[in-house]
Amino acid sequence: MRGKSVVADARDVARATELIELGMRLQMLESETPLSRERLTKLYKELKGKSPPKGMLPFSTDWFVTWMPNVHASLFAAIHHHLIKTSALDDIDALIKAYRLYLEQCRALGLDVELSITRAWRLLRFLDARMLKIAPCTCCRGEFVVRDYDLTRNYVCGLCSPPSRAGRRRAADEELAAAA
Amino acid sequence: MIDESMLAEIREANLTYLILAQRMLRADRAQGMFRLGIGEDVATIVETLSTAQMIKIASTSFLMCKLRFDDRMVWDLITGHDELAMKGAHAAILLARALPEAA
Repeated sequence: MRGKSVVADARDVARATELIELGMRLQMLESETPLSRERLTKLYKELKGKSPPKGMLPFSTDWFVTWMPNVHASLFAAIHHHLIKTSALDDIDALIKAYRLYLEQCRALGLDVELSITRAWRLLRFLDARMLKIAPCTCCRGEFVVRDYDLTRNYVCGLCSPPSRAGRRRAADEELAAAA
Repeated sequence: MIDESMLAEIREANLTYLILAQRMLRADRAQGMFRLGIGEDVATIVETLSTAQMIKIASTSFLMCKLRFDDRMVWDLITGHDELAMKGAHAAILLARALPEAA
């Protein structure tokens, strides 16, 4: 800790606090902030009133290409892309700001939040690592998240041609709840 | 020739727009630029305008803000009635991708 600026430390703690409140997992906090694991754990317990979850982070790219998650992931990716193209932001600030704008969109549209900040962070990592990429839809010219090895020359997005029964999950859930 | 009351309304809309834009940019510059759909240069100008300057700019006979989407697809999506949430999400994906011209 020798030689470390108190002001910088305060900023790191404030940032970690913001990320924990948005629901970020401890593993990601460790890689995104210079704070030690013990301090992060303490901070997490203080804010959430419980120990951080210890399981593995979601690691599959497949989740992002299923229908509903793909819409959310593409929306987040579009917002993030816009922000980093128009402003000079730190990676972590861009993530926080884009995620807040995404939450705001969900609220405005009355959609359930599908993409957790953990997934959003994963998405950016997958895009960086070229395990996922962005492809333009030939129908609406919007840009969507696809897997790297997907063929995209004649790509049509899930919103232009939704698969049968897409988005019916909630109706099915409600039927189930009504039957129970 | 438009009448005096319409000119007054243009001035009012201009002033409201400029004040709101400035407030958004001062609250959070990056998010404000995203919501307004403007680039770095314009954001800097708007952010630093004084109240007197804003009143002066607002009192022209031109409307300061213009319709942002010239894409037929977006209009169809946001004016459609069925499945509002998914259409809205679709429109938001298309809109968020559109970068300001000067950026």
